[in-house]
Amino acid sequence: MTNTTVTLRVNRFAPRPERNRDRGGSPFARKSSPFGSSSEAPARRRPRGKQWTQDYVIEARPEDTVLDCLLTIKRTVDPTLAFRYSCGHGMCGSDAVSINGTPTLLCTATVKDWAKPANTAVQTDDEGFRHTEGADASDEASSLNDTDDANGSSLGVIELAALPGFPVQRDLIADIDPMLDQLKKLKPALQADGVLATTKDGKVDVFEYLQNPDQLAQYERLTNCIACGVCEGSCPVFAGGDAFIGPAALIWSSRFINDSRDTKAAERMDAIDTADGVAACQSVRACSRQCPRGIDVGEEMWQIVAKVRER
Amino acid sequence: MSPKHLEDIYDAVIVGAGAAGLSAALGLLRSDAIKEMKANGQEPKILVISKLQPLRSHTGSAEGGIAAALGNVEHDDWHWHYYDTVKGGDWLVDQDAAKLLAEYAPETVINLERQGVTFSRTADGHIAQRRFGGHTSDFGGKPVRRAAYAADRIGHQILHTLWQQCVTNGIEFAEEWYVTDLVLNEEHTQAAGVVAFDTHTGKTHAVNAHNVLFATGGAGRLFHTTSNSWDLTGDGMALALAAGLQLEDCEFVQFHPTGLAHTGILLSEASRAEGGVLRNADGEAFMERYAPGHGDLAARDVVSRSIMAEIDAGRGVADPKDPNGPKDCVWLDMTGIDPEHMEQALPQVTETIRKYANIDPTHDFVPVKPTAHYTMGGIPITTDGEVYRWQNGERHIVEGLYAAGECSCVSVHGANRLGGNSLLDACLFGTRSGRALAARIAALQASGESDAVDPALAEATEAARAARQGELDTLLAGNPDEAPGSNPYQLMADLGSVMERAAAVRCDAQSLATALETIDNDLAPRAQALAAHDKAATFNQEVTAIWEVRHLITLAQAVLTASDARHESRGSLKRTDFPERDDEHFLAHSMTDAAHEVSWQPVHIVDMPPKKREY
Repeated sequence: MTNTTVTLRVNRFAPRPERNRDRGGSPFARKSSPFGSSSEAPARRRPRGKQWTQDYVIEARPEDTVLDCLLTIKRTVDPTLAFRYSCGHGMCGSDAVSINGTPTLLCTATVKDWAKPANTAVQTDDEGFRHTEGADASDEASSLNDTDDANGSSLGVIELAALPGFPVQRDLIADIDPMLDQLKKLKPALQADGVLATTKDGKVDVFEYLQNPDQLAQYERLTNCIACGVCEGSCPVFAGGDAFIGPAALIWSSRFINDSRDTKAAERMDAIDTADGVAACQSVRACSRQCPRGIDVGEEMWQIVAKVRER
Repeated sequence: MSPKHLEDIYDAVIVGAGAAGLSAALGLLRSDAIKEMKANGQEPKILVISKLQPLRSHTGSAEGGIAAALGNVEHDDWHWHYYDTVKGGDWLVDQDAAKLLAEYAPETVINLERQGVTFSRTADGHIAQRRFGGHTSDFGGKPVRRAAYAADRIGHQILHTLWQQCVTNGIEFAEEWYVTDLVLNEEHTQAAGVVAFDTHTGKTHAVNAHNVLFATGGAGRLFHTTSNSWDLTGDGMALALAAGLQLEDCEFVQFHPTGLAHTGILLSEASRAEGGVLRNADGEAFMERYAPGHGDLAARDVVSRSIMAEIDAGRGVADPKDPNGPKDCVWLDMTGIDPEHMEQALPQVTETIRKYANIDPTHDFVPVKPTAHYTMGGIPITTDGEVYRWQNGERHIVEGLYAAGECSCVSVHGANRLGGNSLLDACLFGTRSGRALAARIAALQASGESDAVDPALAEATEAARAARQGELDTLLAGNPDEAPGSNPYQLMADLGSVMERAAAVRCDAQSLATALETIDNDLAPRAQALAAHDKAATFNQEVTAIWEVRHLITLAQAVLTASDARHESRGSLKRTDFPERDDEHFLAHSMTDAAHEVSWQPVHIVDMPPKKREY
C-alpha cells in the first residue's frame, strides 16, 4: 500500500432538471460568434444548476495520473463524480479539463507535477479567473490544512474544474459541441478529384495521390491534433467569449491548406479571412503551452495568419 | 451532438462510430444504389449512434499499420497475404473471407489515402510500408514490408479522415447515446430497431429501423490488464446474445505480450526488435529456452504464453508501482540498447515508459505483462456483413441485421489475428456491409415501402424501450446502500481479476469452472443488485456503467463456456489440459448463445488444407 495521499478539490455541478419553458429567443440577441453553437442553443449559455466544491482525500503515489486518482474515487468513494475519459493514454482527447486553472488532459497529468501545498493551491472563481495573492474569496481551503500535518503524508491539493470556454454539463464534463461545430463549418475533409479505386481481377484501377516526404512535412504535425479543446480553453480570446472560431478550427484549416493533395486552398483561406477568423487571433500563444500532441499551436497560427495575409 | 428529431423509421441505424461504423456509413452513401436514389430526390434516412463522440473511438489508438500487398517498397502479392492470414489464424480462418480481405486490401488502403489519410511516404511519394509479424513473401518465406503506416499513428489518421468525410457528407450522428437493446421480431429472423439511452437528457428512445448495423468494437475490459480503452465493454456482443443470437469463436482473445505492467498500455514489438530482452525474477533471458532460434521475437501468442509460464512457475516480479501486489510481471531489459538510438528508434515507447511507469528504460528494467488486446470472435456475419444464426447445420440470415469490425466475426482472423489486419478488416468489411445495406435500402425504396412502419415491429421496439425505462427507474429509485459495496466500477475491476486468473493467455477446465462459479454465484447477483447513487438520469455515468458491467458479465460467461467446450489448444487459446491442436474434432467455429449452448460450424477451407503452424 502507498502511504501518501492527495486531495482532489473538484468543482462540481449538477444541472437543474430541464423545464420546457422555451422563451423563443430574440432576433436582436447578440451571439458571441457566428461560428458558435447551433441556433436553438444560445451561444455560451450559462447552464443553470447547483454548484459546489468537494474535496476528496485518497491514497496516491506521486507518479499516478490525475485520471488514476479520479477512477479510484469512482471505484471506492463516489461513483457519482462525472468526467469523460476513454483511452487513458493521451490519444482519444476526451479528458480535457482545467487542472489548477490550466487546461490539460487528466490522463497525462501526474500528481507530482500538479499537486500543490494545501494553502497555496491556485483558486479560480466561477469565471475561471485566478486571483492574485490576497484576493482569495474562498474560505473552504482552511478546512484542508489538517491533511498535511500529523502524518505528514499529503502530497498536496489538485484543483479540478471543467474545461474553460465551454458550458459545463455536469461536474468535469463540458459541452464541446461549439468547437466541433466550428471544425465542421470549415469543410474539414480532403478535396481532390474524388475518384476512388476499384478492384478488377485482383488489380486496382487507380493509385494513391503522390506526395513526397517534403510535401508531407509541410502539414503532417498538424494532423496530430486530437480535438481535445485544450488550446481553445487556454485561449483568452476564445475562452473569454469573444467572436473567434478558435485555434483548433484554424489548425484543421491549415492542415488542408498545406496538404499538397488538396485543391481548395484559396477557398479555405477565404473562409478564415474574417473578423472572427485569423483576425481575431491576438498572438497570445497560450494555446501552445499544454497541447498534448506537442503542436506549437501559436506558431502554427502565426504561420497561417501570415499565409492568409500574404495572398 | 444529438438529432433534432427522431424519424418514425430509419433506413439504417449504425451503432458505433469507429473505423467499421464510419466505413459502413460511407460505403452506404457512396454506393451506386444510393447515388441513384439521391439523383431521384430521395434521401436515405441514416443515423449513426455512438456512446462516444466519434473522434474518441478506440480506432484512434491503433499504432502500427494496415496490411495490404501494395508492393510499394518491395515486390508483394495478395495471394501471399491471403496465405499469411490463414496460417496466422492457425487454420481456423474462413478462407473465402480471408481471400476477399487480401485481394481488396490494396483498394481499401488506396481509398483511405484518396479520402485524405496522411500516410508516411516513400521518397518517390508512394504510401510507405513496413514489416509486421507474420507477414511474409512467397507463402511463408522472408518477411515482407506490407503494413502501410503513418508514423506510429495510423489509427488516429484513419479515424479522423473517416469522420471528416462523414461530417462533410452530412451523416447524422447521435453522440453519447448508449444503445441498451437490439430488438428483433419474435422469431429472431428480422431486425426491428434498437433502444438507445441519451446520456445527456437521460431519456430512452425506441429507434425503429429497416436495417441495423452493429460496429461496437471489442471487449478488452473483460480482463484487468488490457490495451483497450475504458469503453470497450463488449456491448454489441452482449446485446446480440441478449437478443437470442450466437457469438462465433468468442474464446479467442489475443494478448499482446508486452503491456506496460498493470496499465496495460502497449509497448510496441519494436522494443524487442531493437534489442530489448525479456527477463524473469532471476534475471534469466528465458525466451531462448521456449523458442530456440526466435527468442524474444517469436510469435505474439508464443511470447505471451512463455511469460505466463514464468509467472506461474513463481519467477515473476511485482509491478514496482504496486510492490506488495501479485508477482505477475516480468522484466523488459532495454538497457542494452544505445540510449541515443533508443530515443531515435523508439520515441513513443520511451515516452510511454517514462510517463506511465516513471522509469528510465536506459538504466532500469521495465515491468511488462501480457495485455488483452483483441477479440478474434464476435457476432457471426457473412462476407456481406449479414448477421446469421447457425441452426441445424445451416446459416439463417437475420433480415436487416448487419455487423462489422471487432464486434463481428467474418472469420478472417481465425484463432489469432495478424498485426495490420484489424484496421483492414474494419474498413474493408465495414465498406462491404455498407454497400449491402444500400442495396436493401434502394430495393425497399423502389417498392414504395420505405416509410411504412410494421406495427408489430414498432410495438416490439416500444415494448423494449418501456421495459428499459422501467429498469432505469428502478436503478434510480433503488437504494445502493442496501447492497454493501454496490459500485459498478469496483465490480468491473473484480470481474477483470477473475477473468485474468481464469482465462488470460492460458486456462484449463478447473480454472474455467472456478471462474464461471464465481461469476454465477457472486458477481452476477451483485450486478443485479446495483443501484445508482445519484437520482438524476442526466449525465449519470453510473447508470451506463451498471449496464456495461452487466454486458461484460453476460459476455464473460459466453467466453468461459466456449473456452470450456473447445478441448484443444489453437492460436490464442491455450488449454493446459489439452495442449495440442485437434483438427479432427475442432477444425470448427464455436457458436455460443446466452443459454450456453455451443454448436459447431465447419471452417470454410477453399484453397489451403491445414498444416502445422510454425514460425
